Amino acid sequence: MKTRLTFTLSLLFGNLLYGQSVVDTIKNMDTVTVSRQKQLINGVNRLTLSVKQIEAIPKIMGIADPLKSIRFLPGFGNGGDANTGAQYRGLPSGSNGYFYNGVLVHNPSHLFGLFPLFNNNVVEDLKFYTGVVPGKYFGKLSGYIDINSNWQVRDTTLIKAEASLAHLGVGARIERDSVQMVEIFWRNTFMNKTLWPVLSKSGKDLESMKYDLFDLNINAKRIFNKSELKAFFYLGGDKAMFDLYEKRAKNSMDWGNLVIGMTHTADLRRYIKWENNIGYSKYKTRVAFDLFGEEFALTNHQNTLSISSTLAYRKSRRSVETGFLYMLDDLGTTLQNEGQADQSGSNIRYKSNQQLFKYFLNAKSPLSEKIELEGSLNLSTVSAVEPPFIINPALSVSWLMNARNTFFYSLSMAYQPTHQVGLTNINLPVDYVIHANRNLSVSKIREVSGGYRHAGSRIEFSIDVYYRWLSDLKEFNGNIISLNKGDDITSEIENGKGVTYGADFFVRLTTPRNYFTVNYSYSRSFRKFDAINNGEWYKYIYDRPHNLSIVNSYKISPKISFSVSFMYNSGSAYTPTVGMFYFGNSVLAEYGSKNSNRMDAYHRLDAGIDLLLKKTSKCRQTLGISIINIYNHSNPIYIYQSYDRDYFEKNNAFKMIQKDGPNLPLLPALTYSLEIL
Amino acid sequence: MKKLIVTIITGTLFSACIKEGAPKKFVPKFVVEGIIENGEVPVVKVMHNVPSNFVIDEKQLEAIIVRWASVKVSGGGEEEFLTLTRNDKVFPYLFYVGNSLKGKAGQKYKLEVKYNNDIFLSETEIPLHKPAIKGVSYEWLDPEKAQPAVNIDNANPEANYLLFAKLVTQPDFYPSAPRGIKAIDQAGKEFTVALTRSRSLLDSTSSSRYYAKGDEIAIKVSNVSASSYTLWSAVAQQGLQLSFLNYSSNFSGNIEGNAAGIWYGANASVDKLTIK
Repeated sequence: MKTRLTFTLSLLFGNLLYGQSVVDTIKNMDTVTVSRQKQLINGVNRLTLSVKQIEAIPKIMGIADPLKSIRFLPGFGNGGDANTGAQYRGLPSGSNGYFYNGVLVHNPSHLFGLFPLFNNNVVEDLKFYTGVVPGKYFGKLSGYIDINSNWQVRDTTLIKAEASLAHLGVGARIERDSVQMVEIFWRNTFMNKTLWPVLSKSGKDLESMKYDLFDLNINAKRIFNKSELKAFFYLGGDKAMFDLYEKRAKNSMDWGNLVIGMTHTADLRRYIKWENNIGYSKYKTRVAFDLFGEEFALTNHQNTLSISSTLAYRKSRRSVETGFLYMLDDLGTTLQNEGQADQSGSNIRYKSNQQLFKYFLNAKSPLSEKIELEGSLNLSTVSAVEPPFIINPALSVSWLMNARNTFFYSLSMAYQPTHQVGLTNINLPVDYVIHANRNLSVSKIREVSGGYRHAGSRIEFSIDVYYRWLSDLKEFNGNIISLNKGDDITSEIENGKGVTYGADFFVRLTTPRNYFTVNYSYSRSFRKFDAINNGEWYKYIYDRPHNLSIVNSYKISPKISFSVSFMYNSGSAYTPTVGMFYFGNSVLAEYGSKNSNRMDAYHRLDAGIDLLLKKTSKCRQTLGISIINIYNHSNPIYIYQSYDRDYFEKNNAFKMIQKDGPNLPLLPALTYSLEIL
Repeated sequence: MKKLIVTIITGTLFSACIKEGAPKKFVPKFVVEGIIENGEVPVVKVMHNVPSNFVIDEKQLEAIIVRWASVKVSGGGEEEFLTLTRNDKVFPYLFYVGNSLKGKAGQKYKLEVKYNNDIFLSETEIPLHKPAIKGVSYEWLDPEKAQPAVNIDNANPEANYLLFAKLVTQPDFYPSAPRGIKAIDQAGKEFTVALTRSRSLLDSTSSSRYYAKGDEIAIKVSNVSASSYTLWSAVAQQGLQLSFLNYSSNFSGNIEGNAAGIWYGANASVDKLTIK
């Protein structure tokens, strides 16, 4: 990503950073007006973030992260430093679909979301769809994030390398004759040698922490006469070791993703395109404990095969898309005791296959010069689910006041047949993923939203309001010990409903030197489950009413640019302890109402400077310096109650105190990037 | 148009409010912990719960322990009122102990606790199967930390084992980690469990999870009923007081009345080893 930043610095910063394109041509009577409109970040039913905008934000450990960058977009909240950050309009990360080049990705983050799964070096842009979404996306309540590789084909060869105190990455991109392209990029961290030994001195909770990862991206494209073929390969693996007791680092977590996809696009006729996509996504995690002396391991896997075909007609402001999607999803959970073979009968805690077939029809058309309609209709069937057929329509109406101002109103329905049931509210790969079936209904959402868009020459401004009704939501009942001992993990899942509502305000100012965004979201999220909190409404853990984020990237000189970001979020909701008693030679807690307390507000200031060290016709070198959490504010991942042993030993009296879990401290990073043409 | 925007926003914000349930406050109640083991007299501890911000010093400690309750255990045609006994080496240092009535395997026992106008009732049984400890051993994890292990004959697939350990000099057994194991989850005819020491509030001399050279350790394996095992699992759950776990329900146990707690029967075996 540093190489991309170098590239950015060498060109007219403003023009490239904010992607000018001719997007609209309006003909009026006998005059012709050509409007050069900026590419909107916040469009109707979609958000778009280019790779340069992703890089405008100060980077954790010097590495740009597409998923982290969407925290600065309207509607997105902040799950905390241990979370990937894709909580949209009061719903958790598991309600979003994460796609890479149109192929589903499971658990799209490395540990605690600190290191990006998606390598910005090979990324072109990030798109987020909600409401009326393209037909190839499927099965999520909140929205779909699709990260697209850079598929441009020219005629160059580029070798890239980047190094920081935590990682090393090398890659090459070969483009030939504007018809074929191959790109490969490999990254490996060495945090066990650098980062963890330093961080472990900042807090006891990180003692004996070990964690490193690697990932490999390969993209290839070939353009034929009237068609093109794109293929990509992603392989990533993480290995973490952690200790709960006295530096015995034998507890471990391993997980990884394999994502493969191929897309064939053909121009059948003028305005008519046919796109076929096949993708395979494999995710496996293994969490092994030996804290009890006896080793056991919890293994989850999710393998998904998807095939889609889309026939599209696009002409001017009109478009029609129709096609089908087939998906086969394989899920499994095993609890393996020491000495037992994996998947040996009684070890299997969960095993399920789910098939989904979906027909979709999307259309967009102007009703008049000022009124535009966009709608979609999906008819799906999901195996082992009642009722067997699901229809989810979506419609949005836009009123184009003029070339710059638009109002819209949107209605949509969506469903989610694969439940991602969070065991925790932080980003550990231990959440259960369970298929809907006849006993475990499909989750549903109905959404009403409306808003205003202003797209000026230098300013983009938007307001959104929304209300979401959620039904058949699934929640873990919290009995984590029963969960691992029971044969049927679905028995620990409760059924309920929820609502989220709020308003999003977003401003983007652009000048040739400056890129400035302010985003404020007011967002509420509540849940109601008969079996939880005595059946009364309670705040969802992602009920964080106030979310403010500011990004400013400023080009000081052709060789130096400076960026700063600030984020403020209301604290997440948690369940307080109201009482305690002595039992079984230990102190037990008595809990208050579910999520009735709120953690302290989250706020963090980050900054970064990018320096162009050297630039010739063949070589470009850059140095990035970033500081995360400049004023070292403690934003603990979680809090917990514990008795104060020191107080007991000094005063011979018991006292319960609230303690903070780990937090992200002030974290400087230095990244060197090299690009050879 | 501005009016329309303002109307939409304010309409959404104010008409959409959800009424949450009233915050749950601290509710005073009793805590009863009672055990009757095969061949042993019953022991029952009765206390109060306290608010979480309570500082419990020596004076408060007196107030937490319920010392004037009437505690009766009956079963197998026998019945006995337990006697209040004091032992300053344990907490609570006042508890109720039987004298003549001793638990018998396979027998059901009722517990009745009366305190002023409160009555607490429960019933349990002592399983027939007595755990067979085939051996105890230890392993040096490093030069200063030894971890004991117990080898159990897995003869009864319906057994539910709770595991305890203590230094022989300590008056009470403490739950070890793991706290329990179900025989049905063990595939072999016998199995070995390595134990990690629980940190005790009273055991301030050492906070280590392991043992050291010279330590004499007693290991207790108790077979309890499936329902008792589930209750103790719930106790372990209640100890995980971390806000990132989506947990909020409260432990109640098997005591009828305004009390939380467990009355359980056990058939236990004990073995000893010395770390050399």
